[in-house]
Amino acid sequence: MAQTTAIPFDGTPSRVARGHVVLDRVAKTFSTKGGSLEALREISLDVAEREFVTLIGPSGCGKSTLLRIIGGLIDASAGQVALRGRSPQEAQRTKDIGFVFQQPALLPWRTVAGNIELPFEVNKGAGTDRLCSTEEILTLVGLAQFARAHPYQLSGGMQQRVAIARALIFDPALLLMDEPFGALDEITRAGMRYELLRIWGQSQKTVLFVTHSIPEAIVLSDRVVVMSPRPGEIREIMPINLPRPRTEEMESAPEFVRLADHLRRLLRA
Amino acid sequence: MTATATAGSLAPTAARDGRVAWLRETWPSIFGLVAFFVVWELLIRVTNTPAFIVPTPSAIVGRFWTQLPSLLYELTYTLAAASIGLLIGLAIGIAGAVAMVQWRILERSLFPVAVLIKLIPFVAIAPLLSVWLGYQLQPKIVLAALITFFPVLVNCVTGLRSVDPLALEFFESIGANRRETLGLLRWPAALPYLFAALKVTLHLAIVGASVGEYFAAEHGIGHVIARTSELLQIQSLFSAALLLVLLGITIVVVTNVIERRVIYWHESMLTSGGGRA
Repeated sequence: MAQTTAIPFDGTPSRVARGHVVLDRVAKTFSTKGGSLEALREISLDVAEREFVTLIGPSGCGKSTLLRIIGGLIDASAGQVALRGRSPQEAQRTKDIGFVFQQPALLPWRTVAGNIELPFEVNKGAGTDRLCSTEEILTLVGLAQFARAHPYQLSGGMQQRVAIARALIFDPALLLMDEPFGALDEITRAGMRYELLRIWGQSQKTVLFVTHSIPEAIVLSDRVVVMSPRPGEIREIMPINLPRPRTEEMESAPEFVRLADHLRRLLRA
Repeated sequence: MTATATAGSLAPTAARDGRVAWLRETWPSIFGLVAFFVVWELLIRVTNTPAFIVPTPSAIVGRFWTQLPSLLYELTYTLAAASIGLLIGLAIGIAGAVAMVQWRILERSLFPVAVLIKLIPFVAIAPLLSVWLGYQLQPKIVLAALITFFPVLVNCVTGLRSVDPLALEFFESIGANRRETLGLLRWPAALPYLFAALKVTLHLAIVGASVGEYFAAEHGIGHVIARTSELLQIQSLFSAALLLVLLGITIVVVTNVIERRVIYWHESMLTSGGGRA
């Protein structure tokens, strides 16, 4: 420990301030029966604190794989992943990651409140903060009357809101969302976007959001990362400079339409 | 069945509708059972078959009633052996399943042994167990445990594995350890499978204990059946068998009630007609 003082320090930050999520040439190759499958190639990305970044691309471009690597659920074959300078596994241990999947993945034997409380019964050593009370988070996701209900009594959209509440309640700094609205019908889905923005506006987390809906990506994001398929590579990173808070009226604004056209062309190419 | 009930008479009407629906649903089963016994009774009477070959249902019920106190006394022996054996079988099956799910290497090394034990014809080793363990409860307990552990083991392994992969990923993402994942996720997910196993093994435990008693015992329903068949007391034999049938029905009803209370959240309970054996 005494040696640390011996390291020369010139008084200026040694590096440029790094973001919350820093990916440095991340690659993933799956070995299969017929050989190997290159899923991701040379992914480098820097996501700032409290930034909302969307990953968009056609099916099979490795978006979900990338999200799972960032969340520490699978390991990268090459490259570095740093979450505030730490490995994803370390971030898991201190409960800094909130995951929302394509399906709600609730525990059917628990009530809505019981499902939301689950993160507090697991990994207690992590000394988790609490964003708010269970009643408050249920009000936030619009399910105040359903605390005692069981998942099977709820619709798909309501279940997904429970899953979002479950990922928010222990106040993780990073929210990873893997097509969370993918299984919902278009009407529910459109409403959920603005609901998510409202929640995000109140909790101010860094969000990485996977989707293949162009309007969804534009409405939600500060930046949209466009990925190309097999192997998954970053084709372009598109800043979305629409003012916040975003509203449904913006979806017909000329700037929105221009961004959507551009995204569509990128995805088709 | 009409939807035009006034608010005041809604509840009683609903109750009556419920009974009507129940009757509509179950009358074929009731009719089938009654017809079976009526045909049996008539066949014996018409053909004048002697009671020491096949007794009539009415004669069996009569004998059953007079022998009930002594039969119930014998039943306590069978139940003791069966329930202790079942508890041992459950403990071994569940512990084995948990260990196998946590450590794959244990599954590879222990599962073949479990299959081997399962494949032993238990009727063949029942006399051997008596030679080894005597005439008391022990060989019957061992037999009941041997028969019951395998269905418990197999169902429990399947159940512990039948977790939602995304729920498993969520647990991993918040740093859950193995014990927490087992207790909060895998174990509750295995309960429906365990109940399915229980429905089978409760009967198997009684069969196992009875078979043990059949070969060598001084008490127990299996012993009663062995003795009465040797003496050609067919009515007594049938009334002992009747007791086992009634016990079986009781077990089915009780496990269904418990199951509906414990795993009410499971798909099998949510569809109509759920919870039947």
